[in-house]
Amino acid sequence: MNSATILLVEDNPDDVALTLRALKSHKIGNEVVVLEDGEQALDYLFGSNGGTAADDLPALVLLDLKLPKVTGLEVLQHIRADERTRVLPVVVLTSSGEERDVVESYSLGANSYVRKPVDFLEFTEAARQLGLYWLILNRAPGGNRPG
Amino acid sequence: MTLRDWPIRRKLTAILLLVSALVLLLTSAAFVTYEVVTFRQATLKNLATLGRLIAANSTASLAFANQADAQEILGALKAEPHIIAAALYDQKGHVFARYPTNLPESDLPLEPGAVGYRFEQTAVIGVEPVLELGSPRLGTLYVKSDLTEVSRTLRLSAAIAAGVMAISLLAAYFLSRALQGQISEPVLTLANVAKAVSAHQDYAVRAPALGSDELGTLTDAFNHMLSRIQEQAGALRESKERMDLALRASGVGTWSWNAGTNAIIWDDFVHPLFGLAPGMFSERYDDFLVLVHPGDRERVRKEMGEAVVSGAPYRTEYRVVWRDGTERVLAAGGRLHRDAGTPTAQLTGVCWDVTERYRLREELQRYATELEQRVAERTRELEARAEELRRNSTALVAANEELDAFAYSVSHDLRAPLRSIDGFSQVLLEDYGTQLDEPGRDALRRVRAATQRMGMLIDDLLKLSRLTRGELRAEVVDLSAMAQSITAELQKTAAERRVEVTIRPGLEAHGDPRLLQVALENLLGNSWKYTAKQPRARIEFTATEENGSRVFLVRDNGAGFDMKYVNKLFGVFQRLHSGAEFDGTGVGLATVQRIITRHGGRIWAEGAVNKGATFYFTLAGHAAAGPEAS
Repeated sequence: MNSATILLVEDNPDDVALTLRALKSHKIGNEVVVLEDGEQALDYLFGSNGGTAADDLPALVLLDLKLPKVTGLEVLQHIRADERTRVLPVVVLTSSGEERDVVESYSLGANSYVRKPVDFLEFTEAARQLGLYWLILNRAPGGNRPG
Repeated sequence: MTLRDWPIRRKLTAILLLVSALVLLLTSAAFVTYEVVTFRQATLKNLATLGRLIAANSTASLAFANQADAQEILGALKAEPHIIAAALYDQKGHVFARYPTNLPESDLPLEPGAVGYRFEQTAVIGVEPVLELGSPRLGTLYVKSDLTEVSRTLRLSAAIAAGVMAISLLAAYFLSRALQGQISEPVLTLANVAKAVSAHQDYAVRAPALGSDELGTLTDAFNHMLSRIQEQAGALRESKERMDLALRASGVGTWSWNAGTNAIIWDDFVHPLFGLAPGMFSERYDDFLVLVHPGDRERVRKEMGEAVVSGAPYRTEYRVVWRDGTERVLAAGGRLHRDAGTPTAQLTGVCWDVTERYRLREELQRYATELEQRVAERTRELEARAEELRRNSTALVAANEELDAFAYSVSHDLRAPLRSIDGFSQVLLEDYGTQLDEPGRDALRRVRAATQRMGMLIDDLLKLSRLTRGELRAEVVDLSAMAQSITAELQKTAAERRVEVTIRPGLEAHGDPRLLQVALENLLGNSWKYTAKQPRARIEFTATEENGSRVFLVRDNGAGFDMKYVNKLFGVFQRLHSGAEFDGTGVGLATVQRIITRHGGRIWAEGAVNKGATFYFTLAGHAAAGPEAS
């Protein structure tokens, strides 16, 4: 489909595997960069920990909230605070159905909030819709439009 | 008895008699004097006439010196008894003839003396010359008359005068007695009336009115004065009676202290205040002070002394000790009176018993102190309790935070493995399904079903725990509209079902719309679920009144329940139906109950197996009202 990368920040390897499978099962062939915690995500995006920022920003960030070191919400905060990544589509993908997480995520500028269902079939359906919407239908402002 | 003290009657009589006597005396004196003078003149005249007559008759005898004739002529004097002596003197002055003839020479003067008639000491003397016309004096006649006639006349006059005087005085006496009543009677009457008034204090008597003279005026004035006195006495008596009544009723006694004589006068009401019977007080200032409590004595002495000196109103309170040891508290007040003319001042005032007031005050004070102590005690207790509450609430907050953390953790961490189990089971089914036989695939499907069910349980539990947290908003909620939208939603999920839904419009309640939505969703969802096997399903949402409060109810004609399990309906994870019969987690009614309880309401249910169920609930502060217009 296109080569734009998807950044998946997820510490649970099972969830990583299932997410990747869900994406794949819907023919979403974008390269998926998987990072295990918030710190890595910040390094990847901003090169803040001595490393260098990736040249190309991902087309979509799938962000878990409960992450080691730096939480998902903190990562989201950084993304929205930086001019470069201000409009980067970020979908919060988490186990939590807690309302305060939903509210906080949206108020920090998450584009979408998806609660990972227990039922895997439901999950793959959610992944399909995410890919369809954020990678194909949606046009982000600025130069990094998905393709 | 001096003249001043004489009764007016006697005075008047005496005056009248005195005046009469004086007048009569003067008149009588004049009368007697006149009589005497007139008589003496007449006597002299008579003697002169007699003398001249004899002298005239004697001329011849003298001229002829006929002594016998002369004697005879003189002898004629016998007819005049008062002539006591007579003599004829010749030219040479010798006695020629005498009368009486035996008259001794010594009774005759040697010479007849000067011619004329005059009174001598005890007799009237007459000397008459014996003359012949044209010839020298022949001799001299001497006549002497005694005064018996004169004194007789005088006595008679005096007697007459005395008689007249006596009769006049008698008449005057009786006249004065008769007339003095005109003056003395009114005066005496006035005096008697005055005496009666002062003796009996009877101001009602009046002196009888008499004429319009000065006495009448006096009587009128006296009577007028009496009426005024009567009025004032009446007013005085009335005010005294009132004062006495007031004093008696209030137990107020009056006293007065003469600072000069150091005497204290008490009325009968003061005595009992000092524990004494009336009249038992010595009326001495020092004895009064003895009755005053030793602790107050000096102060009272000082205060009373100052009041007398300064003239300022005296007002104090002091304790007194009765003979039997009883201690009372008295209040006293007074004012200084300084009568004109008297050098000593008199402090006059009242006193009354204020012991009860004092005791009440002390009691109040004690209560106040006690109250203060109690308040302080209670405050300490409350503070301790507040402190405990603060600790508890801190602990509660901590517990809540822990619970939150727990729920969060459950939400994330408990579901994640379930997702893995379900996900990888699906992976197995998808990727390796062909390598498994049917029981193998069935086992995987069961794994997945159980996993998903556990997910649901976790979700429901989380929902339930969320209900106990967070603020309860209170606003007016249209339950009817809410029920309408919920049933419409349910109808959408099962379009094939035919359910007769009856919702009474306009049912409003005060509460948290989000929570009430959850409650109604559960109740109506239950009804929807348990009427699934009922061909003519009916669901009703309405309200009734019970004991003045509004009771909402959700009724259906579904599977119902056995009333003997009614107590288990609202327990968590309690189910009266198997999952095969009706799916569910058993959290729904527990959730509803928690929501209703959080609203201060109550929920209960009625039902019978296969006859449907009715769920009743109330919400706090929901008084019955007529059905509101929708």
